[in-house]
Amino acid sequence: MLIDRDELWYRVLKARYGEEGGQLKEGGGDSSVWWRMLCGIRRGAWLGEGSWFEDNVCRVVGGGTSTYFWLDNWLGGVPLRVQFTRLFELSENKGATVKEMVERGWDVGGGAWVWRRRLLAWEEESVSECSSLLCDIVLQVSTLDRWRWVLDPIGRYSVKGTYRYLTLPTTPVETGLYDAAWLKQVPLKVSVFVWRLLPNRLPTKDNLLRRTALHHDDITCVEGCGRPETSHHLFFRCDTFGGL
Amino acid sequence: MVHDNLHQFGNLAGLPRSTHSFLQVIWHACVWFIWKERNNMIFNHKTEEVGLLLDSVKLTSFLWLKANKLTSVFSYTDWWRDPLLCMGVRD
Repeated sequence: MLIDRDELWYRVLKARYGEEGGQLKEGGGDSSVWWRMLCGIRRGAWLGEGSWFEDNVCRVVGGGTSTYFWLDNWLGGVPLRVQFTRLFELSENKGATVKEMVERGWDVGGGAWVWRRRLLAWEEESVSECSSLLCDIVLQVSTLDRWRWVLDPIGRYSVKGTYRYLTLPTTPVETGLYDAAWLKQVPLKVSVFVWRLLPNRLPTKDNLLRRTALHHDDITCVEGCGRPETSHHLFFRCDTFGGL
Repeated sequence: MVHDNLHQFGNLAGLPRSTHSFLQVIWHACVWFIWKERNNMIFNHKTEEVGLLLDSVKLTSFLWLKANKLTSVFSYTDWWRDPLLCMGVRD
């Protein structure tokens, strides 16, 4: 997905699956499962909100020949199509590249702006807002446009950056909490076990039920005390083990 | 909740700071054996007596500490009889 658009791989995939709005298409049921999964990641499937992948990829524009003006995320963190939704809807050149736009002139009243109909007053305002964003931009014709992975300082994709991004917002890290798991005296497997226990990530029966791995009638504690097996119950409350 | 318990036990009131690492090891040993026993019950359908479990905890925590030379001057019987002595609480 992050290959440059004139490279061989991209051209192969484009020939196989087609391209739409500057992106390779997912294809129908006949495309490979792997390909559809990759496209799912791009869409942000399987995770709560947003797309961790697309939100963190942007274009670094050089000459502007292979970056789409409206569709790509190259200015201001989100695609212009999102920043200026109304203008995008009205524009006649949705698939224009940055280079084409600058050549036609993207200051207010420039030839780059082609609309389906006359603009309303507030739409005109948003054109001038948009072109004020663009006025500082100077294309470097000799350099190619490339992708950048926002989460990594060097701009290359890194698992570390992604892992941080994905884990940070959902679990506010209480550093002290997990530190307690790591003792140099105990075997590593025990530390790992406690590390899972502290945030309640052990496969206790209540957790299994939550992940629908078990049925309701099978969640009682092994000791036969009739209460659901949660980690709190198992380790401290249960009559049998609580004694320890 | 679980975390509170570890914290509470690991920093047991009234005991000096030097004992905390010992206590944390013991806490680790306890939950580790409870979990192992729970799995043993579910998957092997065997049960162990609580007293035996306690012995395992004592032995294992001793071995873990011993392996790291923290308690090398003490023998297992010392640990068994008077853990606090081994932790350096009493003379």
